[in-house]
Amino acid sequence: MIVNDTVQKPKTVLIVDDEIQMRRLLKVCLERNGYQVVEAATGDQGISEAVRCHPDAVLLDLGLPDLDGLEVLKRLREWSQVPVLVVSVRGHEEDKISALDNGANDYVTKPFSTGELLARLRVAQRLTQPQSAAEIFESGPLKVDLTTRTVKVKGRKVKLTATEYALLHLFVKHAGKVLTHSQILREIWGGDDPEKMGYLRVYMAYLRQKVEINPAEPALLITEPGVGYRLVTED
Amino acid sequence: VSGIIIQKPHLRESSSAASDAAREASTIQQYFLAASVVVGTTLLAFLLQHLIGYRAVALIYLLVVVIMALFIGPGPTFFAAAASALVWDFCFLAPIANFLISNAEDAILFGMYFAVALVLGQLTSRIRAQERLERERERRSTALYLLTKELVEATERDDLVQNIVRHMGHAFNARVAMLLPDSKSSLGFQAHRASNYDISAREQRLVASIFEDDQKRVESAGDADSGTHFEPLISGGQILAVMGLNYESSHVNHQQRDLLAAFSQQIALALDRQRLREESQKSKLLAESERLSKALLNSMSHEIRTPLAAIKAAAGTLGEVDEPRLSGTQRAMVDEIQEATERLDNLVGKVLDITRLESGMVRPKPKPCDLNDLVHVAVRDTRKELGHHRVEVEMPPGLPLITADYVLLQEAVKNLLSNAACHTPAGTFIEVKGRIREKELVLTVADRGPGIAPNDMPRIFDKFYRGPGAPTGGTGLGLAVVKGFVEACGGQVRAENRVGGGALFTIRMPIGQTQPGLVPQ
Repeated sequence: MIVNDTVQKPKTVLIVDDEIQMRRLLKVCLERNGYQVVEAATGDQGISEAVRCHPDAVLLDLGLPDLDGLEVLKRLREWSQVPVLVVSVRGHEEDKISALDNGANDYVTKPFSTGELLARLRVAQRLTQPQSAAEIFESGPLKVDLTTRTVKVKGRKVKLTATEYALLHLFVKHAGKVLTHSQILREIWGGDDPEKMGYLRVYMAYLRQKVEINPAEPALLITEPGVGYRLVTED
Repeated sequence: VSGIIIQKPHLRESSSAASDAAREASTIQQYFLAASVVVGTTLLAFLLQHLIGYRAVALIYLLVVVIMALFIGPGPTFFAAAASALVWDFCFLAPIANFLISNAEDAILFGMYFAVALVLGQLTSRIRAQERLERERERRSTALYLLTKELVEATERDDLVQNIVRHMGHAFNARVAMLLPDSKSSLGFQAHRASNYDISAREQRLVASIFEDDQKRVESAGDADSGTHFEPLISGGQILAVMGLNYESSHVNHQQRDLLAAFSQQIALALDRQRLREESQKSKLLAESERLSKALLNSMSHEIRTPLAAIKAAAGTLGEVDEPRLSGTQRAMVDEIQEATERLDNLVGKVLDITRLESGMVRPKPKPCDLNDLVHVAVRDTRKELGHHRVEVEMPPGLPLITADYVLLQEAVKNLLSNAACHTPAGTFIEVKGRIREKELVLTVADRGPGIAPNDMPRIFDKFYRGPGAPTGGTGLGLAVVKGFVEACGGQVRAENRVGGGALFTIRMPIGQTQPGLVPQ
């Protein structure tokens, strides 16, 4: 008898964290929400667990005793595209940026709420799944039709310049995920030298002028201080 | 003040009268000696003159004067020379029994005789003066050497003072009191317990009135009644101590005074060295304890953060469950836990910020920033605290991009906002305004609360300072963090009261290059 695995099998999450209490808590929280949990207390153990059980997502603490969390991430990325969520603390923006630039999908800042964690996990998994040809993106008042390249806010058509559209398109492709400054700069302007940072700030302001209901208080294209920007999704 | 003799330099000169008198006495003896030698030589010359002739007699006189010059002063030498010349002229030179000189040869001999005697007298006296000086110098340097040796040997302050008292007492035949500055004493100087002369209360008041009131005074002073002499010990223009000398003998000659001056200088240097040594030890200790407390704070912050994260996650999970079984009370408790956790996390975050600031780990990375965005994020992230306030943001249209460290500046604004929220009544306005003036960003956060009390004003940016009557819930760290971050970016922050009530905080910061034409309005 053949069981349809893709539907039935619960998603596996690998937690790499040296704090047993955090692992225990996350396990309870994730299992309640239908995930299966594998734990690892060290970086080395995390890598071997990832090789062994091929998790659907990895929750990686950056402050590990043996290996730098970043090192674990790099080794993981040598062979796997599994979505990785890094756990960092406030004030360590540099760590977050280098994790994101090295292939982490998103981050949460300690202490985080479980709701936030689950939302990030969902986004990370959605983005790594083979894209169902979703040609229309909707979030709040914003509607983007990727085939016709039309953008509507509250049903009204908005005219964007080529660069603005490219920028919005990038956010839509990674909807819900944080994009670091250098990731955006590389994608849109072809390089992340610091003087191009000004372009990004200016074009973000332009784009917000056009797609936000209140550009002074953006609700769609939100700033992640010191890290980058994120396009908010419905979930 | 009666009973004080301030010793001026000219007094010091006259004080050497005693030793001058002694020298005077020996000079008179020398004149007698010179006279008697001349008489003796004359008698001998009378006996010999028929055998050797009157010119050889002159040579005998000369020889005697030269020999005498080795032993007596220049005055008596000159006297001996003059006397013997005249006697020779009178008694041996024809015509005998008067001072006339009949031939030119004799006149030249007479003149030469005077000249040779004079030069000899000068030369020998100069040599002797030099020798005396040399001996004096040697005696002094030996005494100084011995003192310095003793001073260097002492490593503790008490040992040092003890050595000084012993050595000075020995060298000057006096009882010594060392008066050291003492913050506990109202008089400023307190006698050290190693002193062997107990100064009276009157003397102590005297010392205080002379040396404490006027730190510039450098002369020594004496107490007329007890005869105690007070010498200030000065190094680096500061009186480090006062040394009181109660001499056993009534008079002190000028050599001793000079020696005392030299000694005082050495002692002052030794005291200064001791002070510096103590200070460096203290600062070493301080640095060590600071390092320790920083390390402690660092690890504490981390160790507190982890269980905090666990509490927050647990409470969050509990609160998110839509369990009908969770009663109203239980739900309220969960909310309390969550709020307390956030507050604690906030505090830990600020302590960490302060630690990073103090250990010099905050290094701004200026990049182009959109000030509108920055202020908006600051307001957004403090929304919870600002729940009962109305925030008005006012930014001029077309604000250029500024070059600043986004995160630091935004943290500073956030802290100012939560500070305003904490200290002002619910429902009041908080205004945030930004403008660019020349090459400077001026960002103000103003409220309509009770304002800042004048007493709090100077300390408002100190860490852990909380005004008396400050509402609970604050950490006393927010404004210290603001100041630290702003100053790390090369800016300044100022607090003042607004016209019409309320507090006004102004951040001024150099913005580097601006990039114009940001927002089309």
